[in-house]
Amino acid sequence: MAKEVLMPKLSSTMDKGHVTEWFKKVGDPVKVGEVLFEVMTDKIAIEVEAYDAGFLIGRYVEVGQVVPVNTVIAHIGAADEKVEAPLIAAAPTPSAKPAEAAPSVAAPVVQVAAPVVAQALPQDGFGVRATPAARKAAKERGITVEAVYQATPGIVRVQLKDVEHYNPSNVKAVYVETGVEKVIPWTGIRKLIADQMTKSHNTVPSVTLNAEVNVDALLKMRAELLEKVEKEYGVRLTVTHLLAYFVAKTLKKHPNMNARALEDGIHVMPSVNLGIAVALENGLIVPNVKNAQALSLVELAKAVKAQTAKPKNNALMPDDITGGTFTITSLGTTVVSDFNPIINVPEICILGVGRTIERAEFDANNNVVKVNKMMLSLSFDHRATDGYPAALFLTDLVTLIEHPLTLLVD
Amino acid sequence: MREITYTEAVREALSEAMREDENVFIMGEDIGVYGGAFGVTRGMIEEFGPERVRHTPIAESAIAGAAVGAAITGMRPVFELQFSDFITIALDQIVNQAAKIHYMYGGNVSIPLVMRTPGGSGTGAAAQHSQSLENWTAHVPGLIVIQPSTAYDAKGLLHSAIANNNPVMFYEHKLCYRTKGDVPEGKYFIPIGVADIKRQGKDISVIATSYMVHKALEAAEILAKEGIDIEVVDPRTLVPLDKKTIVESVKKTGRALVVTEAVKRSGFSSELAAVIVEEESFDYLDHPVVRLAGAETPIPYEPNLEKLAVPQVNDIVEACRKIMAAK
Repeated sequence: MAKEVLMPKLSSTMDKGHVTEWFKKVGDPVKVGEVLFEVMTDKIAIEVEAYDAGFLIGRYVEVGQVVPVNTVIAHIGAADEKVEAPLIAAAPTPSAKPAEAAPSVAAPVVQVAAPVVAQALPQDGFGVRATPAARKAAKERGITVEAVYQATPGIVRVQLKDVEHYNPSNVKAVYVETGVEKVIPWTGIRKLIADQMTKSHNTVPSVTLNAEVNVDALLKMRAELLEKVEKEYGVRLTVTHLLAYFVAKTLKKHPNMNARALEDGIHVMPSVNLGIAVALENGLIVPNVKNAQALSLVELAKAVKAQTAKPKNNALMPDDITGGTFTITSLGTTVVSDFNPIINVPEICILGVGRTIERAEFDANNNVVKVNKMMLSLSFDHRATDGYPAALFLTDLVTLIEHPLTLLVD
Repeated sequence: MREITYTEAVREALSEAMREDENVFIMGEDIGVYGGAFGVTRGMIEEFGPERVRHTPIAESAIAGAAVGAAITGMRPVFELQFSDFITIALDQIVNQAAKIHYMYGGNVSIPLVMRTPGGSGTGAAAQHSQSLENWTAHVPGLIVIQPSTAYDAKGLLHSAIANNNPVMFYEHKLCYRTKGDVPEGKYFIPIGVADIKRQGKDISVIATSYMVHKALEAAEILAKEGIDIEVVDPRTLVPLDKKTIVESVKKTGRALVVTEAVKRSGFSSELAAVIVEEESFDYLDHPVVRLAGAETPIPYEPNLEKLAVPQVNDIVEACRKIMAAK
């Protein structure tokens, strides 16, 4: 008896979905736990595994075709088994169009039938050589001798005959493609990022505040704790872990920054669900650590480590990326010193972390000293909060990073 | 129409003019009993006597000066320089007297003289008897310069030269003397300053002077077999130059090859090329103007080297092929 494969319901809000990629063809053998297809929910792309073994004997939705959850989209059964294809209902919202086409590879331009391979214009600074007769004829035809030159292989000097033979429609390519053009479709995580960023950019009036922070104390703290924490708790403490800890502590003093801007108002959230942006090969995703404000440094470090490892291991579940209240995004390992991060809506703040640079500064005694400086870039939603409170938050954060011992007394 | 040689055509024009006008007489070295170095005046002393066929000492300045003086008095002298190279000796009389007197006397005096002289190489006459120096007189205002290439042109233009009241430099060519052509009996005039298209063609205008006209026509036959159709333009008169015919030909073909035997540097080929790019023909040029002309060397005595020193038929063929193959 053939087993049905359903469009899964992968989150509480998911009522429809579409397959972004099939990993099995009809007739392929299927083992339990093997990935059958990737599905796109309203939030995330998830690979779906087979619950039954056998052969894929029916596949009823195309890539990009949006169907309601629990729709039968495939059958697994015996190799010779026959099943009747179910009627596939349209998705609940008819406006949801299967916009994402199947990944396709465009034919290389050079394979166009008998093209004229255009000649590059001379780069000697004197332009195209053309005889007076050719220039006169080109002018009369309303074309340029440059166009004729490009369209005439092996040409040295544009002559009358070249102008006469010139036919713009014969020129198929103005340059030679050396490779193959690849189309990355708007599907999966790319689509998710595109939609999220567009929504944020188009709806949120955001302001970015930059502040330099002396991280000597932070680096010293990390150096002192590193070995002990790694040995005793099995987690290698990073600058990001420490920053996350300081951010969570500072948010406790500035609860209004830990919020979500929703339709009915600004939801000031009781717990800090701290998102950490993770760069993937094909995109970016922000898993979050729930209740970060309640975690010790080691607990937070472990949680951050676990959450940021999930996307790379395809272990991310919808809960991991929903409910965030504040995001940290770091380009600290690159040459970037500061940037304008786009807010991960509906959150109202995102903290960008730049690289650490050695600087010469005057100390209290007017001596030049070497310090390590890092740039923090805080983007905030100016609908939900204002420059001054955001600046105060950033000031407290910088003060805490520079004087971490105050944690003992606050 | 009968066919006669270039030599005979020149002699006919001289004889006809002398029979018609007793003021016409000829002077030169060895032109009497000997009949001239190239036999042009052979038999004329028998018809006209030593008074009108005067052979002279070897003194070109004296010959030219006597001609200028005779012309001032109303005679119409035609003097022969045995080789055009010897014009070096006669130039003061030609340039500073013949060319200037009409102008300096306010038009009250005319100098209706003709200097006839053979130029060019190809006879093994070596460096002092083979030059093409027509450009020297073409440069001087006040002189008419004619370079006939065929027997027909030679007779008709010589009649016009003798009838003209200005000093006329009439450059013949040693190799042209043997060439034959249809020439009418009796007197006829070819107007001075009118070029002649010796062969119609559509691909390249080959503007050739003097004996180079014959080489260009020979090249045209070879090129025609390859589908290259050249037009051979013979200016015939260098001063005044028929620019219009040259310009119109180049407008038609869009390509110009200038062929002269004279040394390329500062030669008359430069003047011809300049006219083409200076005039309306410029806009029709579809290839740079190409010149074939004499090498910058004294003409060698050795026959193979002598040939290498001036454009040959194959040089013209090659130049035309190259022009047509240009990308």
